[in-house]
Amino acid sequence: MRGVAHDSSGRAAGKPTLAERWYVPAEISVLRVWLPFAVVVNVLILGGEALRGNVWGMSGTLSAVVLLNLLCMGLPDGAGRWRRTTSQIFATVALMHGVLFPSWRDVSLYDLWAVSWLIIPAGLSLYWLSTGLSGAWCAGASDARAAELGLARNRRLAPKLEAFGLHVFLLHAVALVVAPVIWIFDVSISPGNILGGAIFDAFTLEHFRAVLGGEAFWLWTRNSLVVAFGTTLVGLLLAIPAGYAFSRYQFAGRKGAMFVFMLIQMFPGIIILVPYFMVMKTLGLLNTSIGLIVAYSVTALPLCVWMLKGFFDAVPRALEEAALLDGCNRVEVFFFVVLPLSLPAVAITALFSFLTAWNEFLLALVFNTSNDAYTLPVGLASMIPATNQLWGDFAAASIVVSIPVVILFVLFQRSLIQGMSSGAVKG
Amino acid sequence: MRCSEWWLQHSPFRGSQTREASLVGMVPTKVKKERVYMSDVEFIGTTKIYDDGTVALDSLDLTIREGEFLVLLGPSGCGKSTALRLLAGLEDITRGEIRIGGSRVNDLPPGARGLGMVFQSYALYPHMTVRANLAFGLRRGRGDARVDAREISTRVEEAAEMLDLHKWLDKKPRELSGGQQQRVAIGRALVRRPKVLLMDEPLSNLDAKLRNRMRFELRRLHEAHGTTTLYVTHDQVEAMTLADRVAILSEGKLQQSSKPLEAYHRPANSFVASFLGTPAMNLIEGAAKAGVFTAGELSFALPEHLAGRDGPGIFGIRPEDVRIIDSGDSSVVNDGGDGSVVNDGGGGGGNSGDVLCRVGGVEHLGSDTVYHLEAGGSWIRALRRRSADRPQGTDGEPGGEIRVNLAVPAALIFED
Amino acid sequence: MVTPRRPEAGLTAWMPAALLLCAAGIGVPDAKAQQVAVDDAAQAYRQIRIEVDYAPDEAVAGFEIWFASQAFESTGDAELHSTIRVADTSALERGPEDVVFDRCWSDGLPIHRDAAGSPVVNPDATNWSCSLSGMTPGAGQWIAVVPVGADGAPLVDTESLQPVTGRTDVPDERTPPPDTRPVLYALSLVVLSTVVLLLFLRRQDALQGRSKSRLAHIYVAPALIALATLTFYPIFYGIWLAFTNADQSRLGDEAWIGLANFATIFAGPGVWRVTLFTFVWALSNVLAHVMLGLALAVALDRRGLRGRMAYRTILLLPWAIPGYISVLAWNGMLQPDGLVNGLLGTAIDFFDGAGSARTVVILVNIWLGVPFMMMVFSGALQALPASMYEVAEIDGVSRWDQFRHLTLPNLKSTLVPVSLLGFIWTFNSFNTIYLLTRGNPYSGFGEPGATDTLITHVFAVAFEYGQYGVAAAWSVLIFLVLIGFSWAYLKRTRAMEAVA
Repeated sequence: MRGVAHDSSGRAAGKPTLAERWYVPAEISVLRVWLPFAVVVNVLILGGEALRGNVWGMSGTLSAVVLLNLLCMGLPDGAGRWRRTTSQIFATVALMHGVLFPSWRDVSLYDLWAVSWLIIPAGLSLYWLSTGLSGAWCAGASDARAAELGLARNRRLAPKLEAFGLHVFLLHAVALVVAPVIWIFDVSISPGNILGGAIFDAFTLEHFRAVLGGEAFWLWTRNSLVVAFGTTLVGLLLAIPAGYAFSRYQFAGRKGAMFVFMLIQMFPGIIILVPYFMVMKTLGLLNTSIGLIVAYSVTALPLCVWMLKGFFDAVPRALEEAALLDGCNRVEVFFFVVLPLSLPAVAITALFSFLTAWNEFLLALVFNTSNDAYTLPVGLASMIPATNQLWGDFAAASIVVSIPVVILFVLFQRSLIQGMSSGAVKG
Repeated sequence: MRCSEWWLQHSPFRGSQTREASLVGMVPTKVKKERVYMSDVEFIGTTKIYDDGTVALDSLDLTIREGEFLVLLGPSGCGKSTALRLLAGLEDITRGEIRIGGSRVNDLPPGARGLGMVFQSYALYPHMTVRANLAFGLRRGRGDARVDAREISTRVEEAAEMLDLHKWLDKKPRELSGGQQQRVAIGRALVRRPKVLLMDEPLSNLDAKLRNRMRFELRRLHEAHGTTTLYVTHDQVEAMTLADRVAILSEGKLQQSSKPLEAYHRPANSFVASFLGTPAMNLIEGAAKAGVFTAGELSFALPEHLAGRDGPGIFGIRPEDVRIIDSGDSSVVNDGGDGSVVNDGGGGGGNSGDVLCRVGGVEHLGSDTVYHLEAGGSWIRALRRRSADRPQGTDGEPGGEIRVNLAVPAALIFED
Repeated sequence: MVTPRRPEAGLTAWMPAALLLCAAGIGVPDAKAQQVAVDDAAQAYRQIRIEVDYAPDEAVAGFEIWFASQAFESTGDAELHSTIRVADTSALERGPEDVVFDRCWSDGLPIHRDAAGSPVVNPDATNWSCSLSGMTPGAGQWIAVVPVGADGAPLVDTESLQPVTGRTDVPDERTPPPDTRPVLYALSLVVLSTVVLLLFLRRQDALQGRSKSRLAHIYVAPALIALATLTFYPIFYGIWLAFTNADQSRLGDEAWIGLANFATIFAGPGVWRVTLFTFVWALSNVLAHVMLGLALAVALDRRGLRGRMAYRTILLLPWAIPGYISVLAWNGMLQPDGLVNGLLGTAIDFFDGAGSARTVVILVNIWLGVPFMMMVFSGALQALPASMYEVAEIDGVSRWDQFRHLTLPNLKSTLVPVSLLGFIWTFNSFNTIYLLTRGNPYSGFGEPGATDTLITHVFAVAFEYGQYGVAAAWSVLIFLVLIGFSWAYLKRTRAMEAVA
């Protein structure tokens, strides 16, 4: 099975080498990926313009979409010079359109961003299409040696360009994510209840003073703490034995019970809210912590049971059997072997029910109508009624409430995500 | 590596002129112009240094000729897998070159190199049937790899025929046993008609019995198709049985590349010597002077072909080459092959090749018996094959004494 | 349309709450507190009825009703409760008398309402009265009625209101505490039957000789009993309520009315619209969550990406920050004078138009849900073997094809259940819409608002209109829909498990 003999340059007469056949300048291949993205972004911008009812902006963005699309579809394929020329023309037109179309007198930050999604892709394309290197390739004029050098260059360049593109994408996501956070910080330290305006242009601690110095916030915090700790305790007491039984025993009704536990967590609180409310009212449990604790521990119960079952499954049975052989009884085994081993897991479940109770809004809204019985979510929301909205105080309170929660979430992200989807996804 | 050294290592004269050179066993890289075939693979000073500064491969020079089955052998972490991954294009080359069919491929994307690769973990696409696994590269690959639907089905048929996969074509990988999965992986690499077939420890996830069978099958496949193959393993048995040529690596450096038996019988250095063979070769560090080798309190006469050596070195002798002379009657019982040198026992030292040893332990392996012997502070392993006239376990009790002769023609001295 | 079913009598209780009516200035209507009514059915929405007599005045274009729990001189210290426009009512209809929330009358008849449901009085009218809901029980209320001109400016000095005191002399009569016995009986019955069921199952185990699991039923019992009493029982009670005329004034003595509530629902104007929007809402959200989550997960999964940990931590924020806080923050940012308009250089009220309000609530909820999906997919991507991609790389498969034919199919076992679950979660979500728009823009009284989903609409029906029976009927319908989804979901995940 000997192959065709080559000379030492590896080039068979007349046939392009592998390198020649595989070489596309990194810039061109990157443009092939980036330009569709630019088109998509411009389509989104088009939607934004429609949302703000700006017909002039819509027409401008529409032509941007068309131009970028043309540019993208007409990118050179290395077969002939003319495609490069047409691409250059499209890029130039797009660039001109981007520069000339907006009225530059009063552009907002958003307009600037939007138009940069036309100017930058067009400009970059024009520049990259016009370099000598891609020119030679577009014209099909690069020989084997040039192709090899080009491939080497691609190897260095392509990862950097790709990383750059990724960072642009991720930074957009980051900007969207941190905008409300920055805004809340800004509102909390700005005097009055100004919603817009420059960021970090003034500084006052009046809102923090008002919130932390007032009684209501501490009252709500106390209520929330009582409810959250109560829920955690009751929830765990109910869920641990059940989770253990599901994990370890085969018993009549096991499958049915597990199925029910799974099904229950699919239903929204609203379905049982009305009857719940009426039962609570009849029993006089509205505006009490007990009412909420009972409600939360039961709503969180199915997921907690599923989470714990998963965790107990991971504790090796052999350990239990060893303890049984050593003369422990079943209950002792559970308390002295299984529980200590799965303590981290139990802690995660506890954290999960705590955070659920801490952040819950709907039930707390319905069950607690008196200001004194508000939990933090309802209390904070009550700062933003239809009129007389205390944005500054709300922002300050939000920061105080969020920071510990965010830290907990970030620290235990993996376990929490796993837990949330374990009960649900593993089925 | 400086140019002068490079020249020395690659000089075509070095290989065959002197005895020492032949022990280095390097097949010289072509320096004069020669015909280069489509699937010749050349590593030229190929070096890989990872970002953390680890030198995974240190200027490897190695040529794999078209149709050759070359095994890269070495302990884990020696750089053999790195060499394979560099050739496949999965890692960037830090320095040096790799050529396939004479053209430099350093910067070609992996898909352009026309290779097929079989992974230790098989790396089958878990969600596809065997048929789809075989066809995927042909259907979705770019460039030369992509072929039309009719050609795909012919090639899949061929592969199924060749590897006896017909029964499994419509099953998912997880329904298959390890051995079957491995066949699929091989089939998937072969349907692309690769110029070079790369295999990264393909048998190490299989159980011992299956491994033997697959080994045999791989060899058969190679003989049938003659695809140039680079095979990475840490298992010397695989290397010995499969390879046309074996290249032994240690700590990123090529130690020796030669025919398997040559590497066994004439290892280039003490590393190769100790790496190949079970039980491992005896290596005794000491010094040779005037035909006598001295290591601590142990000294013995060197065989004729080593008598001229002088200076410090490592005396190497394979356990099966150690001649065991029965303690009782001094008759030669294990003559090491040719029995050319016979010294009348001189009491364990001096100018005789004979050494009187204390038996430290005996291992009965069935066909063989391994003696762990101690003499003058050095340990020597000696192996004796069971034979009809000498049934196993008849002599050499731990704590007893055995006289052996080390001055055999197969003995070697390494200078490293 | 909401069927009028509620006679005035019922459980209305009279309470002698101190009431100060504040009014001031010349041409100010002569307001007097005629009745102070407290509906005890929903403590959250105690009502105070005020009646205002006045001489017609050309300049008066409307009234603002302000209230506070302390005496006040300036409207700056009070909250605006509601407004009543003065306009020609000839083209308008008198609203349904029996809307529970915010009832008003003029000339002794239910007040006219405009297309948006706001109360309107005719310029000739000389009196109107309103039941102000949302009053704190057991506390004094100070109320001011301020006439406003056509430009919306008050016609009186709102900084120095003269307090006018009114007091009712209606005798105090509290409703007796509700009868807890039926509920307690029902709960005990549920507990008892659960225990009996467990005992039966235990016996079955014993008969089959599974002695090892003797304790299992005891372990499960507390959780199961809790679930039975607080989930099953309410569900069945809810189903019962759906066929009754329960509302906020009727507790414990609701009567069976058959399918009337369902008839009300399906006869209502917005039923299909709200259902459609609920599906649009859930589907668009899940689609965006999955796509963006996957895109971010793939981006973060890239080998050698710098700052991966920083990115991941920041991108997790929407998941980590309590949801109600983020939603309220977005609410503030989206106000006409908020940050978003600042960046856009506009002053759009996004919550004003139906289309923009819908877009905005969906976008905000997308913002909330992406990180969870991102994390789930990140985990799933890391579990995919690298060698699979290396083989594909050697085969020359392009990145896109690798994603399309290797990553996606292998993520399917995560993708499908998580999407279904996400769909159910979004379908059930309440906070985002409630805290952003409360279902507004308003589209007619008793009708779901433009951004209402089934869930928020049920909330409004129950706790803003007080129609528990209708709300329960809605809940039953939602329950049926969700049973369908859950069944699909469970079937899917079980199928996945069986194959895996």
